[in-house]
Amino acid sequence: MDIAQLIVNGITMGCIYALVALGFHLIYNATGAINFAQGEQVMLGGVLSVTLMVMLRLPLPLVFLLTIIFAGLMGLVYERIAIHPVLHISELMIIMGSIAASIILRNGIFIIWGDEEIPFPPFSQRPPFEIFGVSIFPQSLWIIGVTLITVSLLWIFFRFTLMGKAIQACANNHIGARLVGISPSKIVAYIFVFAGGLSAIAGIIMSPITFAGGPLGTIFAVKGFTASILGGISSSAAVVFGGILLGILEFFIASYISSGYRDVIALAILIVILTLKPEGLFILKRKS
Amino acid sequence: MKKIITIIGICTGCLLILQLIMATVTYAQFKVGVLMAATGVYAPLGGASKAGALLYIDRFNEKGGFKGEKIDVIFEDYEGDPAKAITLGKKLIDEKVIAILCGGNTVGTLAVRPLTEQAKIPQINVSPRSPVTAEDLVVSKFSFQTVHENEVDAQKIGDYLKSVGVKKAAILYDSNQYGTSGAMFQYDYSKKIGIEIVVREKYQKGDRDLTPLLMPARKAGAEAVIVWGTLPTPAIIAKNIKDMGWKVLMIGSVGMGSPKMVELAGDAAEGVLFTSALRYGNPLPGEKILINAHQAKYGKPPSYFTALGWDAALLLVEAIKSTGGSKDPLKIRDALENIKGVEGACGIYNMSPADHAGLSKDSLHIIQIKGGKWVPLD
Amino acid sequence: MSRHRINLIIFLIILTFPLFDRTSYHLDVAVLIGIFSILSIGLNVLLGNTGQISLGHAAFFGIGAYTNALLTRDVGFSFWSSLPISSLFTGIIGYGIGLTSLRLKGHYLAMATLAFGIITSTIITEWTELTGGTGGFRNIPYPAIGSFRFDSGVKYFYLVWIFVIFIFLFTENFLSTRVGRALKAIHKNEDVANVLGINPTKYKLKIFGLSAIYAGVAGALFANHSNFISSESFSIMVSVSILCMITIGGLGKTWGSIMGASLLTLFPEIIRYVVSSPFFSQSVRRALTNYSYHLFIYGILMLLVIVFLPGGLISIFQGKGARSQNARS
Repeated sequence: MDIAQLIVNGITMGCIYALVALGFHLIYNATGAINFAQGEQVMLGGVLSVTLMVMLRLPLPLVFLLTIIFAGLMGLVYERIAIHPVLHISELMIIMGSIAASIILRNGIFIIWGDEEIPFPPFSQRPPFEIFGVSIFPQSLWIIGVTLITVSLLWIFFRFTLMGKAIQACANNHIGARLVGISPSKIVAYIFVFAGGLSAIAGIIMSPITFAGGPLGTIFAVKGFTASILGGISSSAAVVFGGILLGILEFFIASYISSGYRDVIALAILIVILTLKPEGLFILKRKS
Repeated sequence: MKKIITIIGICTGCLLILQLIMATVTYAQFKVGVLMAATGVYAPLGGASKAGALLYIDRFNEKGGFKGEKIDVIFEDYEGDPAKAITLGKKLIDEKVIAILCGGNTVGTLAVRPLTEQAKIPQINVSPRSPVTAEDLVVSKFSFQTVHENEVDAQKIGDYLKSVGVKKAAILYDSNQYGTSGAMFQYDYSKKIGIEIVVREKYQKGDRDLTPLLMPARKAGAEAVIVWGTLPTPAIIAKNIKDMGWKVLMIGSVGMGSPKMVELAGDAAEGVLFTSALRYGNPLPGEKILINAHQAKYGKPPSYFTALGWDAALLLVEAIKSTGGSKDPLKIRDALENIKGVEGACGIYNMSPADHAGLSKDSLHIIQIKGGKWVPLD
Repeated sequence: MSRHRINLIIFLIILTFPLFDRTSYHLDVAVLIGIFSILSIGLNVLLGNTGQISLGHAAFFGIGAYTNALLTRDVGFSFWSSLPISSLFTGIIGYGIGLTSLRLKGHYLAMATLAFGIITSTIITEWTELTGGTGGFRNIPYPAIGSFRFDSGVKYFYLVWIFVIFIFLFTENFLSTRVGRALKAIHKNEDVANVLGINPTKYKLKIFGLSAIYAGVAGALFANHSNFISSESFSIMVSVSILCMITIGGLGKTWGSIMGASLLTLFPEIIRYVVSSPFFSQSVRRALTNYSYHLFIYGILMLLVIVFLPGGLISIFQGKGARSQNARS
């Protein structure tokens, strides 16, 4: 069944967008800033992992671990040199800082890995299987599975751990947080580490389908942002739904309207939502 | 005040130094400009063509060049951006090159064409003219190419499909000039020979999943999927087809002829067909020379695009030889137009005032990817 | 030595450039610097002076270029009559984008303008019937006055740089009037500006429009210079590089825009010259001429400027007073 196939493919891509959107959500909640380098961090995850897998022939779980750790560290470096110095100067400067960082990261990746696509072996070599006429390939299941696990882990972290609650507190009330001994600037640093790791996960799981590397950083950042706006950037659940929704929407647009103008329509939707309901489709009340 | 004077002084000083540097650029006589897209999206094409051209010229120089005079190559990378191609083309012309070997993508060569026409120097392209409009069909006096024109390529594909009994086909094409032009010729020729085109869809180079285009094709009963475009998208299409579990014939144009196709598509590339001027498993003598040279230097076989660059340099050298070693661009141009029976890696060239590509349908072959290797079917 | 005298001297020196150097390649680069200066000055007025972010500014550049190309090639207008039309048209679209700036602030505006940039870039690439897409729009005629055509490097150099000088003078004048000060006030604090009787809405819309007009002029000059344009020249990367130009040059400073445009346009050319000398090995040469290296360096420069020298490189020449003024607010 065609529609079912589109939905399945859409959910697959949507999971990637959801992870990127989560990164945007975390950073926005903590700093009020939009991370323009988010897309490049996704690409970083891809190229790093492909090198570890193909050149060093490390096993997949180890590749995941090392890539996430390194990407997290890069996130920290990014925060320290491009965000922290300008965080309290002006919004404009934060934006410029994050744009500068995205330029540096993007071209740094191009210098080291080249700007062409690098093939990434799929996680499992099984052929696609059919359920009710819908063809599902194994990588799809991996993507959905890893996304579910990541989102659940994150949820547990924020709900039940001390650090997670501290971050939430900080996001809601800087001064109050300070009063109880939480240092906001440390928290911000941690957030960027998380966001970096999240993006890396997205990069790793999508590379078997989209290849690692290539000039996709900017468009991923914009789509991740679109997903978070679509859902509602202030809520982690909302952005995940936003991501999935965007994934499905894109496939339907490509199928029924036009593949060439697919991005244009998705972006036009972004602008419409930004203008009419900026708090997102899944948020019921306006957050001040 | 002092600051201002210092600044002005520094600026003027820099300008004068630049002048001096320029003046000391030695004027070697056989200066040839090589203008290719060595980085950017078209790097697998332009970069390979650059390697091919330089390989030929280096070997030619090693053997002594033109009675002792070597060819001096000035290479510029226009990164696939036609605006840069124009600027760099002007630079090469300023430096008094006697010919420009140009390419990587079609639009780059089109941008440079008016410049070489104005400067009256020959331009040998490694990218096809890919005509889309009527004005594109006009053969430029100064532009030549070593690559089969899209029209011939489309005919080869069409003839093959007809020969294996395909009645319905789908065309997926890149939205750039090359893809659009190719799809146009493919569609027209298919109508002529009685193959029904059930789906004709354009894709963007950045698309990473083309299932939305393939599903309607499958539904409409397409027996073959013709792809007009360059990597990485054909690899993605191959993977999509495999993931859909669809057993269909996939055939591409010469644009698919990069070793990266197998790299990127992996198993999905098995059985995929494409046209190429090279025969790989069973090479003709012209191709063999290139393979040996390339293997000796790089330790691996050349790609189709390498051969295009090699042939561009080869044609230029043969043309100059036939004028007796002239450095006059006009004489070289005339010699190029009169090339007959010159064997390059891509086949035997026969140029004429109406045909500046010189290669016929016969020098194009259908290649199949079997076991990760390229096997010619004829 | 008054500022105006200094400006005059610098302009005179610039105008004598073709006397030193007549190679078409160098003149080409000089023309490009001029065009990008106009583009940068326009973005700077919007971003540096009024604090409104436009991450898709190359879109306006493209709209101006293609509109002018269509008018001069297909409709048959002369360059002089098509220029005001295409610039105004671009300005109207800019005004329209300005409407979104009323509802969106800061990061959201940035993303919205980025989206606009991508949309426009995609439309230019896809709508091949109108723009020629990646195949390009060809045979755009040169500007002409009677039988005198601006077809050579020297002639076009003067054409573009006279435009630059006029635009420079206009901008400097404009910024020092009441309007300019109003913009600055809006940049610093919109609410306070409101209380002081300045209507931010009216100004923000108009400045988006004006900034787009600058880009339209630059686009028109660009189209009729190369007589060939293609979608590559109007991509998001170009928007980002204009942003780099004004940040590195100096936000809010007109000379900063010209300096940034010069630096980033000349940089690859200088590298090309330096690297062609026999001092450098083949691999270093290949590495240094790789475009990604250049962009990488721009990114680092931009970051360094943001963190350590927010007034931009031009602030080195403009004295301590001007240094920390504009960006930090």
